[in-house]
Amino acid sequence: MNGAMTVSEPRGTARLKKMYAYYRGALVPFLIAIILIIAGEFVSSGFASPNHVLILLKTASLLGVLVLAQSIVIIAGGEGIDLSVGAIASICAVMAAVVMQGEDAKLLIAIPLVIAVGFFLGLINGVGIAVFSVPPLIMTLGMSSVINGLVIIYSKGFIIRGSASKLLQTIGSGQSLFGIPNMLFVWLVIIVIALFVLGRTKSGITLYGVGANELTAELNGVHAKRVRALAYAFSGAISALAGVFLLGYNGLPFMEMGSPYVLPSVAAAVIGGISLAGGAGNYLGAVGGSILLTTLTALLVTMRMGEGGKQVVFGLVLIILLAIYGRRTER
Amino acid sequence: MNIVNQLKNISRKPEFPSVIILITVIALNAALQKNFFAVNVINVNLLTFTPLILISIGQAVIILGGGLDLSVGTQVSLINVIMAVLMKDAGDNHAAVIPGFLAAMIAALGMGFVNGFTAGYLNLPPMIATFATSAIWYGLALLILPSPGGAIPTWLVKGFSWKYSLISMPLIVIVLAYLLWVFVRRRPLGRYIYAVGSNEAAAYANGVNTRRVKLYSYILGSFFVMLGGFAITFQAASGDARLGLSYTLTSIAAVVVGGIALKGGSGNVIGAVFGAIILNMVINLIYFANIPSEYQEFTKGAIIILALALAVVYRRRESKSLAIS
Amino acid sequence: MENNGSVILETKSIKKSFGGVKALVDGSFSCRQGEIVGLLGANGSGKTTFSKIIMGLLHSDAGEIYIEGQPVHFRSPMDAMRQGIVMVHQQLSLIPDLTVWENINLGHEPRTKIGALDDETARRKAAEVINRLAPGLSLDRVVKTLLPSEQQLVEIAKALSKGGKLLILDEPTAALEQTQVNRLFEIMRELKSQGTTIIFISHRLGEVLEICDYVVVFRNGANVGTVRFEKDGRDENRIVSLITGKEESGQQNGAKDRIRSEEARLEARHLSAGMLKEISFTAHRGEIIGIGGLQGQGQEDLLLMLAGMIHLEKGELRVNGKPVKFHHPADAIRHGVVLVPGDRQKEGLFLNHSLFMNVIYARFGLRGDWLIPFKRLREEVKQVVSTLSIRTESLETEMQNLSGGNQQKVVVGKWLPLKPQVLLLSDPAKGVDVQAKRELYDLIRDLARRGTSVILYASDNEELVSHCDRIFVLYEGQIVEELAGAEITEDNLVAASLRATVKQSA
Repeated sequence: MNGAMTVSEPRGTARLKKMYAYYRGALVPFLIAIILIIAGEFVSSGFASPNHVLILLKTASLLGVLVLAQSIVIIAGGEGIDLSVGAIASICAVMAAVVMQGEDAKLLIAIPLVIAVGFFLGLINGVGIAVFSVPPLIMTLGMSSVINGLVIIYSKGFIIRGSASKLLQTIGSGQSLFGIPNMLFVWLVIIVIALFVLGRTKSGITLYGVGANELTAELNGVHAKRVRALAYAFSGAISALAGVFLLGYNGLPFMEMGSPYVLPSVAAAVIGGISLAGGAGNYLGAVGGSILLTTLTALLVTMRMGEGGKQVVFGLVLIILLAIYGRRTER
Repeated sequence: MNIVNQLKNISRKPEFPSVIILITVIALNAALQKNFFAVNVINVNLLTFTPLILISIGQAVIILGGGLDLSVGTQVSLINVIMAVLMKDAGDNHAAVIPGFLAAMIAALGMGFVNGFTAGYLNLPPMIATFATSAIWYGLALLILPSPGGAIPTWLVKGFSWKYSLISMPLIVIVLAYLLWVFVRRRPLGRYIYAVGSNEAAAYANGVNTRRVKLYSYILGSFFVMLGGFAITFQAASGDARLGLSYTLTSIAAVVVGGIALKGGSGNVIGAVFGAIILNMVINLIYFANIPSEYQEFTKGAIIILALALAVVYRRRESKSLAIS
Repeated sequence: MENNGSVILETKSIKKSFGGVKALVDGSFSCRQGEIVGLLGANGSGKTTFSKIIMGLLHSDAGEIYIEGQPVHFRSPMDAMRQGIVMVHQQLSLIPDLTVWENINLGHEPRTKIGALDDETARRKAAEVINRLAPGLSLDRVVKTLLPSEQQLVEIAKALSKGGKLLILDEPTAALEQTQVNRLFEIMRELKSQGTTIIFISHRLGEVLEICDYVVVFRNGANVGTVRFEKDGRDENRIVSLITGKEESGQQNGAKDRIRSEEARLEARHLSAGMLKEISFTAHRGEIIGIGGLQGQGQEDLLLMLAGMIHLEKGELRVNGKPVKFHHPADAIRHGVVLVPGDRQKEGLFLNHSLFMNVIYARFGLRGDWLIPFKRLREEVKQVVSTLSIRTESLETEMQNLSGGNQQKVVVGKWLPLKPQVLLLSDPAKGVDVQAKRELYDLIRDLARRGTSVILYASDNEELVSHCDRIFVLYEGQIVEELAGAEITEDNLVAASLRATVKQSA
């Protein structure tokens, strides 16, 4: 064997270097978020206080869970995007509230039920996209209007009766140890699970492959369409979970409560380095993106910019980031 | 023999299915609404259909050129609030509405330019780029008019609903808009829009300036959207930043129902007009069928998804090809 | 007689690479007014890249281009067309949704005085060329409804109608019949007499000898020589040896040193799908079977079908004696039938993923291992890297940073840990350097020696001849001839491929 060569295994500092290389992309949004927090202190004192930062992180956690739902379908490729994450979160929050009626005991019924519903709604998206080749953006946009329509039908346009149970409210908006919001612990668990599944299991790696090159994945014996349809189903399930937390945070459900998170969920994923071309990026970066966007929003609010200014800034941030990362390859 | 061939040719036209659906929907409407063919009912219907028809023409031009515009809805909103704010105090002074029109027109062409620039020159995927710009237009609309308000002079509102028998202002606007498209089609730009939408790389290889064609298709599209914005503004007679939002998805659906391929390059703009009329009439049907109002949002969404899915499946069966070539 | 026309085009050492792959190392070339130049070379020798650079479709990394002595920098095809350069593209540049006459006039539409499209003039212009080149073709047909040969003619007609002083024809005759080719040649001769320069790219040596004044040969991205017919005669062998780069004519068939077994690995019985008709053969344990014939006769489809990517319409397939049905590549992989596809970048690799991920991905079609045993797999991948001598910095290197040859080794190597029963190879050495090619074929032979059946399609006949035990010649989706043992020579293979065309047209 003349050409035999060894590929050395990284050890010690080399290993750290490798990890750094892997997560380097994820670092940037965290750094920008820190800079924004410091800048905020100059705009209004107390912005960078530990308490306020914890509040920011708590708010970011709600967005962060929806960003996970968004990231999965973007990674799955094929111009993947899910604009129905907000609507699914809304309907699931409503359902959860109606089922539990403020009782802790019914939490155990409510949560599995809405996750199943979210999974099912996502699966409809997935089948439409993977099997009937409806463009994802249009499919999920249409789906979100259908789902919001369902909520209107249910509520007949009035207030929805039902509320979050005590325990859920404690999870969603309460705090414990050293005043750290409970939601942050929940988010941490979700982050660990997500990074593990996406990075260390067959399901995760398969997903990246399908997103990077569907044809290659298919010829490697992976059922690419099935994987992509399931990505939307899981996105739906995670959106449902996000809806439950949203309910816990707010205490009461209301119509379209998830809608304001849709645009930020896409923006946060893109900021976090999740490539819109599919098959690249990791959730840790998107976590950074969520924190960055939440901080930016808070800063805009502090500067007395209304909903309009927020939308303009979000749109601009997204388009600038797209121009930097998201260009289609030149011919 | 010749007639058979001609019939065959007609049935092969991309907008043929939409014509059949249109006739069916008209028949159903006529059955449910007694005086459907009365002159003033036709005029009222046309008046309500006008915004979607015009916006769908704009969307069609952009889609034919291989693009997509998810910001048409918020473009309408921005145009609407600009006019409502600038014309608020115009009253009967006819000259006082000119700034409003001018500002709306500059805004529309500017928005078309930005969209076209991101698609043509920055080479961003149009779906996501116009999704981002739609937030910008919406934000601007909210900044100009945070809560519904403003006003349009009554004489303009009345003027837009002017009619003489079957000839009405909305009809005139639609016909003029369509003639503008016919004019464009008769020039190289019109053919290049089809060429770029059908096969961008090939068009480029033939020396077509594909970037500029994409830019122009978005600007032209936004011009039609602006006309739609005028129409909806004259009906609403006031401003609301949320006014246009639903038109994004509906206009895409109208285009697809009208036999225009989402991938671009094939279909006719007249199909989008048919598609818009079909969708409006289906919504009329929901109304006449006594479906409670809370079901409308859901039913509309469901119909649109169904229309899209059917159109995609129909088209795919038409051009079945191997996955690998 | 030496042509003394002025030099129209001259290029000096143009270079171009894609990712890690060098497509053009030294594109030097020149031609004079009124000449027909044949541009020859094997697949991946850089002919098409070269012509696309001249056309402004690609930008060179280095080198100079002169048109009539003036240095030029084409940023887009528009610039090239302004200088009077027109090209017929191998991957046609037609707009599928437009009609024949619209396509022919695309980019230079006649206009009326007020700037509107002058469709009448446009149709007349289109009719002029079409009547000469493809009489009987309706101008109003939409291009996507045309036959491949008709589309090819429209593509040619489009270039001809543009006029121009330099016409580049990239494989214009591949899809044409003889009468159509004759008509094209007639027009080319006429253009030549009017002073147009033509660069004619083709694989068909006979046509080149017939129409060209001289030929320029590209090999591995460089101009390796010119054969002037006036001076050197129409010496086919000399051209062939320039193309292949081999002086020695005696071919070694590597198959001879292997003992063949009669144990059937893969049995195909009357397989039909798409263009493939009634394919029957048996591949034995340790046998290397070649699929030959002219390009595009269904060779690649046959491999895709055996790999489960194209569905069988009729027929029966057996692996190790057991009947199997492949609904998806996963089924084929589970039965040990694996494919190295023809386009490694689009079908074989995740270019922006690491080498490690690319290799382990091959196992995801199989069941089991939800938790990925990274430690064990790293050892496995390291084994693959050393067996194939893949040159890489680390296992984490992204595929796009590897050279073409090493990329191809990964596509083959990823299957090794699965111990394939049947290895399907679709043109594995395309665009791969000489050393990597040798290493690849060493590995393939080694696999065969250890019992894997190999089914190999190669666009280069020489590869088939030197490695196969038997060669099936395909023509229009059917096996028309089988070569075995001493019959396997390049001459016989070429003859058999051509015989098929004669038999069919007779």
